[in-house]
Amino acid sequence: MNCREMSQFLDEYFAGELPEAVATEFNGHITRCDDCTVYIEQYRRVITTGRAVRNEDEMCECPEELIQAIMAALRAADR
Amino acid sequence: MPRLLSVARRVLKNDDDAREAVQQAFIAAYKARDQFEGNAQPSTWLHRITVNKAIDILRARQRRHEDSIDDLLPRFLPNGHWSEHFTVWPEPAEDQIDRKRLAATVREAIDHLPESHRLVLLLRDIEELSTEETATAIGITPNAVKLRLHRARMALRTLLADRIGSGDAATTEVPQ
Repeated sequence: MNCREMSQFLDEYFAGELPEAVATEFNGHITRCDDCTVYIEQYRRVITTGRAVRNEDEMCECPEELIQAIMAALRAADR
Repeated sequence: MPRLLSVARRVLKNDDDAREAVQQAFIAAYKARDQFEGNAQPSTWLHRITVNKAIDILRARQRRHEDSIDDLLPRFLPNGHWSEHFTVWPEPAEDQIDRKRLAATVREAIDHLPESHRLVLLLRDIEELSTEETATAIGITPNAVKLRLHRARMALRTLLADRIGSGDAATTEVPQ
């Protein structure tokens, strides 16, 4: 397995769905290849960093006018 | 409700459209309240409705030209090795200011992804919808979701390497 082939299995690797037949070659390659080791770590950071975005975003406050608009729309929907 | 507004903002990148999506989601949820299954979490149900409303609004917008993602994907030498070296990124800092700065950097990088890939990455990695839920929401196959997600992650890695890697470029070209 070379680096290009390794990269094609990254999503399955992180999903824990690496086919058994591929896993040996995949793991063998990444133990020998420093660039792939770094790339895999950065790919992992890309996945986990999304949660940081969500957590920071959700600290925002909800505008009062939106609440009022929703309440008015719900009253209208009820008529 | 702040969470729903954040979801809609991430999809639509526009405050007014995000408020419209949340408003539509509440109305849709209210009208469909008889169909709500008691064994589901109301917050999860509202989250899914908001995602769908945001996608509807996104589709209704005039389609903009979409850049190819290819320039953001890794390149390889003819022998299959990377065409560049990668350097280790610094560990993320723990304090709140740095977390906010990192979140802003990542958000800005995600906004540079081509739209079709940005949406899949948002729904899978940030909103944590399943592959099947994402496929249904966007109207593509589960296999297309998997392919787009993988390419979007690789492209986002490239964008983040310029932003959080050491120096201006986290990679060094390998001489052929």
